[in-house]
Amino acid sequence: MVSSRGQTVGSWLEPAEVITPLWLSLKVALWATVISSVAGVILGLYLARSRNRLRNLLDTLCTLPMVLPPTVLGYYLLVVFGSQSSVGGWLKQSLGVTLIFSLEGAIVAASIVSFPLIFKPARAAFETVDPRLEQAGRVLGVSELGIVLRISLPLAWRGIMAGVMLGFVRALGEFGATLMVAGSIPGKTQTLSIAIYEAVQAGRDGAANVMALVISVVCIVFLLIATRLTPRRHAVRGDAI
Amino acid sequence: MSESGHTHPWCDLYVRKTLVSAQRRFELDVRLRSDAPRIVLMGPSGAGKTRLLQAIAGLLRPDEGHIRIGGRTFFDSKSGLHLPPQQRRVGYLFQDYALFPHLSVLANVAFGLRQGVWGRLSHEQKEEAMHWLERFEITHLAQQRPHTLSGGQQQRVALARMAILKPRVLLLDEPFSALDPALRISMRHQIDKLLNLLGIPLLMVSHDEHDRQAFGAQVVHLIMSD
Amino acid sequence: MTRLFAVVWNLAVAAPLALWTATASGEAITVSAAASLTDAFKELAARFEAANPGTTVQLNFGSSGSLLHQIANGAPVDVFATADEHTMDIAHQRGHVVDGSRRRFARNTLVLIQPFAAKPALESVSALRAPAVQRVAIGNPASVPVGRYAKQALEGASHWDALQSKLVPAQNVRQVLNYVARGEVDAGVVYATDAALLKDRVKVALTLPVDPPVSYAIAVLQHGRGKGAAQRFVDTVLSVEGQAVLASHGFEPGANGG
Repeated sequence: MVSSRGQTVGSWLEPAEVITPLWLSLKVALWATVISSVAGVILGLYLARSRNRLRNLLDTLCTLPMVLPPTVLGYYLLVVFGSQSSVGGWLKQSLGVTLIFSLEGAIVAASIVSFPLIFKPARAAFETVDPRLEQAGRVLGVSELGIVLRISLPLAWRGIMAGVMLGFVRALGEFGATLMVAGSIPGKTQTLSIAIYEAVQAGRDGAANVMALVISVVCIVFLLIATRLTPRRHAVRGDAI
Repeated sequence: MSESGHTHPWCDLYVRKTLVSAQRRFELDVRLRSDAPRIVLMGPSGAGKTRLLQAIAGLLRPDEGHIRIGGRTFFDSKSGLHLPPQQRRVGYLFQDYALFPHLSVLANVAFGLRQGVWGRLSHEQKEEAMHWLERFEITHLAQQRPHTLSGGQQQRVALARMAILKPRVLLLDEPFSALDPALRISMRHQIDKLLNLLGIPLLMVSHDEHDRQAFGAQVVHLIMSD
Repeated sequence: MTRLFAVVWNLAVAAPLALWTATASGEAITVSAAASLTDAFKELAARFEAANPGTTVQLNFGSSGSLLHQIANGAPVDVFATADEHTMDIAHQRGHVVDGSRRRFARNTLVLIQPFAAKPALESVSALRAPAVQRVAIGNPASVPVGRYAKQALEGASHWDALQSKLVPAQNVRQVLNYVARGEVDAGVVYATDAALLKDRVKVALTLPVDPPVSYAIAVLQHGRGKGAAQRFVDTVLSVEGQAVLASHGFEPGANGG
C-alpha cells in the first residue's frame, strides 16, 4: 500500500493556509451563534411559558435542524434562497444580497444548524425557573420585560450559556449545508472544515492533519467550558428553603 | 377605608371560577362585601382560599364577576376589564415568600422600586430599602442570600419587599403556618404595626383561631360543597 | 403489517444474501470513472452486464483527483477512467496501474457555458472580465481535471490572474454544470458532453482551445479483485461498440495509444 503522507502534492503547509480558513470559521461561528442565541432564547422562553396547543409542533420544528441531515438542510436552503427562487431573487433585487457562494450564506447555514442546540437547553432552563418568582415580580409592579431580564434570564443563564457553547462549536464545524450553499471559495467561504476536506481531496494529508488538530483543540476547550456551566444538581432553585 | 367614602365597602367582590384538571373539577363561587379593616378567610384545604387571593392580586382571571378593592375596580367581567397585577398595587405575600434566590436581601427588598429594565438602584433607593430593613430589624442581613435565612427572617424580607411599595391592601396567604408559636406572636405584632403604619386593610387566609383573635378580624368562612 | 415485514426482510436478509451469493458465484468489478463519463459509462456497464451474465459492474463517479485519492487510500477499484492523462500519470507513478493496460479511449472539447437565459451572450474569454460577470465556476484545479483545463485555457489568454476574485471552485464537472444551470453563477467551464445534457438550461458561449487536447485514459488497477473481468471491461470500452456508445454521448474518439 502506498502511503500518500510522504508524497503531498504541492508545497508544505503555510501558516496563512490555516489562519485564513480558521478566521473565516470563527467569523461565521460568531455571527451564527449570536443570531441563533437571540432566536433560541426568545423561542425557548416563549415555549417554556406557552400553553398553546401548537406548542409541540413548534418545538418539533425548532428541533428539526438537529436531526435533519446537513445535506437536506443545504438542499432546502438552495431551493429557498437560490437565484432562481422567488425569495432569492427578491433578496438580490431589493437588498443586493446573495446567500449562495457568500459568507452570509455560510452564516445562515451555520445559524440554522446551531439553533436547536441553543433553543433546547434554553427552553429547559426557563422551565426550571419557578413561575411563582415571576408572579412575585408582577405583583411587585415590574413590567413583563423587566421580569424576563431581571428574574427569568438571570436564573436560567447557566443552562442557556451551556447551550450557547455547544451551538458555537457546532457552527464552527458546520460542513455539509455550508458546502452546498456557500461553496468552497478560498478566502471567502472556505471555512476550516471545508479546507480540511479540500486538503484531503487533493491528497495533502499533512495540511489536513494540522487543520484538524487546530479545530479539535478549539472544540475541546469550548466543550469543557460548556460542561462547567451546565447546571449542577444542587444549583440554586426557585423556592425558598 | 374606601377612597370614595363610606358608601362603598373597601372589599367588594364576586368571583366565579371553574378549574378543570385531569383529576377533578373545581368551582369557586364567592361573594363578599365588607368594610371590616381586617378580614380572615377560613375554610378547609382545597376550598379555594388561595385562589381567591390570587384573583384579587391579578394572578388568576375569574370567569365571571367583579373585584373592587378600595374603590378601584380591578376586574369586571361585564366590561371585560382585567387589570394586570403590575397596576393593582396590592401587597401579596406568597405562602413560601417567593424571595429571589439570585439576589441579596437588599436587592430583594428594593426589587419593586422604579428601576430600568436591567435593575440599577439609585443611591436614594438603596437608602429607602435600608430604611425598611431597619423597620424589620434585619439590616445585618442586607448582603445575604435568601437561602441562608431562617423562616422568620425570610418572612420579614418578604414583608419589607412588599411594604416599601406602599400597597393599598395586604393579602396574606397562611403567613404563620411554618413558624413556631413564639415567632407567630412576634410576627402578628409586626404585621399589625405595619398595617397601622400604612393605614391599609388586611385580607388573610388562615387555619388558626388565634389569628382571628389577634387581629380582631371579621371572619369569612369558605365552604366546600361537592 | 405484512408489507412492512416484507420490506424489513428484504433489507435485512434477502438483499445481503443475494449480494453475497452473487459475488460468490459471478464476478463483480468496481469501476471508478470521471464525473463527465457518468451517462456514457452507465450505458456501457449495462451492456457489459448483459453480454457477461453473472458479472456485475459497480460504478463510482467523482472528480478524477478525488477518485485517485480513494485508490491511494486502498479502495479496491478494478478499472480507473480519468478525464486527463495527468491523473493517470500519477496513478501510474504510484504503482497502481497494471503494466500495459493503460489506454487513451476518448476525447472531449472544453466549452464556456452560460445560464440559458443569460444576456448578453459572451463573445470571447475577455468578456468574462466585464463587471456584469460576477461569478465564474470552474472545477477545483487541485483535484478536478476540467478545472486544470480551464486554468490552462484562461492562463493561455492571460486572464487567469484577473479572474481570480470571480472564480467559484467546484468539486467536479457536474457541479460546475449544475451551478450554471441554476443560475448561481454567470458562466462556467465544462466539457461539451456535459453541456449537451442540459441543452434547455445552459447554452454554449464558445469553445475553449486546449493544448494538448482533453484526453481520457483508462487502465486496470493492481489492487482490484476481479482482474479477468476488469480487462474485459476495458476491452469493451475500446471496442467498436463501446466507442459508438461514447460517440452517441458526444465524445470524440480517442487516438489509440499507450
